[in-house]
Amino acid sequence: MERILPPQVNGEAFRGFVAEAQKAVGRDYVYLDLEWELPAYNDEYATLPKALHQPSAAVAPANVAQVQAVVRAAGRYGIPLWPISTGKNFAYGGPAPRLAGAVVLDLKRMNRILEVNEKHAYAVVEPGVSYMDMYRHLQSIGSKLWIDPAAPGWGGMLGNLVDHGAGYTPYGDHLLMQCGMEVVLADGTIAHTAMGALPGSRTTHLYKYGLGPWADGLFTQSNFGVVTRIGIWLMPEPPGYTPFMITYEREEDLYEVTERVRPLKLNNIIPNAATTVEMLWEAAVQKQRRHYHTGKGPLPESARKKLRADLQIGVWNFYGAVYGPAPIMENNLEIIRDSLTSIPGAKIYFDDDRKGDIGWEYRRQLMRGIPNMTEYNQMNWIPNGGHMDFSPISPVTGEDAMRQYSLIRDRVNRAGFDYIGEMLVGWRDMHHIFALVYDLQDEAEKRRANQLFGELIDAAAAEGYGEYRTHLDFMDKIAGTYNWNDAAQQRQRERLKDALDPSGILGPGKMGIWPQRLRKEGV
Amino acid sequence: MKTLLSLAVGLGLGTLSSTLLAEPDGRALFEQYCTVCHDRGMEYPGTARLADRWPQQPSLLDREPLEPDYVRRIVRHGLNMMPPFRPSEISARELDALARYLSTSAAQKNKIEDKEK
Amino acid sequence: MMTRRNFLTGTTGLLCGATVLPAWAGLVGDPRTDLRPVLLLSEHPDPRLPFSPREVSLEHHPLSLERAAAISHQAEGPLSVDNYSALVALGTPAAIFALRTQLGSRWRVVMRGMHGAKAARLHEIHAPASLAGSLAGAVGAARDEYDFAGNLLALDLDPRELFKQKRISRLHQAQCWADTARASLLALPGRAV
Repeated sequence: MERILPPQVNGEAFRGFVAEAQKAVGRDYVYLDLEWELPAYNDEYATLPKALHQPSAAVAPANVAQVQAVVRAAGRYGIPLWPISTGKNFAYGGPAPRLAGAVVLDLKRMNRILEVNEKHAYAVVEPGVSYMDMYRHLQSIGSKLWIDPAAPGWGGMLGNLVDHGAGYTPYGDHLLMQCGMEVVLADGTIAHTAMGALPGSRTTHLYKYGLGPWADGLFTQSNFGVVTRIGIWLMPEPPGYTPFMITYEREEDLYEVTERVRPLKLNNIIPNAATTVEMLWEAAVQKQRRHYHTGKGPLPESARKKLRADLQIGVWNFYGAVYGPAPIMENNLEIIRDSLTSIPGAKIYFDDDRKGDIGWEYRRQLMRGIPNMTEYNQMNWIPNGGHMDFSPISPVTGEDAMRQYSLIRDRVNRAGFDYIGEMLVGWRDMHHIFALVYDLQDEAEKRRANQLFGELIDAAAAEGYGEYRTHLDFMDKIAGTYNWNDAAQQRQRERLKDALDPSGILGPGKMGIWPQRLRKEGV
Repeated sequence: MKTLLSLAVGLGLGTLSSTLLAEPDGRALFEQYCTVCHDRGMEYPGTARLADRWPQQPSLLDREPLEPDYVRRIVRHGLNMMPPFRPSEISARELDALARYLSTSAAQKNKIEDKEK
Repeated sequence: MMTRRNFLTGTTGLLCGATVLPAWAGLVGDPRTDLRPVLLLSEHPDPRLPFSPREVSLEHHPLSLERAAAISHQAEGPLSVDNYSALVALGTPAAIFALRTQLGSRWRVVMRGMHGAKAARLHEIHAPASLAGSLAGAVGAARDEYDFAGNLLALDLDPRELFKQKRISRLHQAQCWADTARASLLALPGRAV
């Protein structure tokens, strides 16, 4: 592995920056070693050569003062930084930077839980705190607050939230639950947003919007500042929790399920992120493909049938939960049953019915705020798969669900991959997550996966569906689909970028936003 | 209802150990970072993966001693579906301690010890 | 960076070196029918091997911890049992351990050796009972690990018998082969699972 320097940076500038970074954080925390440090910052699941996202170095500050010093040094030497929190989302690139040669600003060491407020039900965390960390901490102090973890529990509370991630409890819309933010700007200034901008504020983490424009959103999925602290509302443990699963026998049942789930979600009868899971997603978290089919290409129907029988699942498997005092849960469950189990072939299961079932257990835990890594078993499906997630947003209608499902499934199968997908219903939208799983040891397959991903983006955009989040390789392309009115939104973002980060040192290329000096690096 | 405030709880084993110059605790590091995937049970992805090859000892908790250099290599470079861990998560010193822990026998790894905290 | 698949293709092509070996070398099974080469994995590209009268082919590939850790688990990979009649590996304890861990389950490891790990002249052999006994001579007569490999390759072995026997450990006092601890491994193709 050779060191790759960032564009427009010569050896002298790089060395100058490194020396200042070492002074700021200590030599031990500036990582330069090409054999024993930097390989850990590569995109382990890359479908293109890893050098495309290889950093020149990584710097791990311990606190905000060190972050300021590093950011200022980067400004002086023109070094692009790529901030990461826990850096564990390997579906989207993990810790690797968009721009080869960037220096990763690794905030993992800033892992303090600054406050857990039981009375007002919130916590304040730094970027390095994982769901596991917080869960263990809350358990250790006897807290009655729940977290809302994303599926792999090693993910970061702050990182996932600022990347617009989601979970499976009633607090599943993570950005909605964020309140209060500290951000280091490109010139090294620290800003506290919203109510936090009032010195001694008593409501920094209680009221989101402060006075004037709510700027917190600008620092999410973007490169306008380095987020170093957030407040997150936590759900107080309800008196009761009843998760359930309903299996459906036919592919076309997706239509009716989605239509019936919509009013249940709109009226908060199902308060959590209700998820309709396709059978292969269920299978992939607990089985290996080769035990059902040894050839390449999508699973034949005979294998799918056997899987369903072995796992006691349907073609579609709906997961939801009710929360609260028993009378409310019973009342709402009755409404849910009336609506969702009257589709022919539907079968409802509760915890007692599915004890020991790995697929059930991990969902039961997630819907109740217990982090785990079971979904990561999808990498065992091939086995030794990598993955990239394709995540278009859909209206909550049967028609859209079926359209999205066939749009993706058909192309995916034709390209020789399995359709592994699920649909998470939120407030008004459905997140359709397709996990593109490929053999890490097959270079041709990885290239095909990359190609397929690009085709899916185009196909979805042509039908009016945009993605909400993506991998490093596709940030420019997907940003490019949001081009209404001669890309007015993009041009607006570039103006903001140039104003907030004139030297173009923060996260160049994040979600297709490039600083002026590097604008030609993008599409 | 009483307000419970727990302020500034530091979780960083890395920062803690280098500040106090204490010998990092390999077992504690394993519990912190590795058990999420390598604990006993097929719901743990690392264990599920290793079960094919090591059906008698799929969890690292029950595995024969591992060579320290090999452990270091895997942790920093990854191995197939296992992504690497960065030095900001597990420092070089901590990795040595973790590798030492994994180089002990299964019996030694699981010995119940009086933990002095 | 070393990728999974190019472990054996490497940067210098598929064969890093080929040496012709005595055909009476027992490891190739029935020499009248098994034409597959023996695979030798070791750090150096041109290992010395003792002369012997019969001709058998040997394929050598370099071995390091980095390469061993990158080996594909897949049965169809470059280290497939279908390509070779036996596998002998020499290297650091970590590299040999990595190799043993990464080898697919169709390779049956019949001998593991640790040389100079516990003490300079101490060789620990872990193998089926009949093999462990006969290796005393192979260890004793060897000046270095390549001599040992050559002696291993000269043994007459019946895989079916070896696979059935229980493994035991034997310690042998013999010449010290290197300044640091070294390890060795012998594997034979097993039946498809």
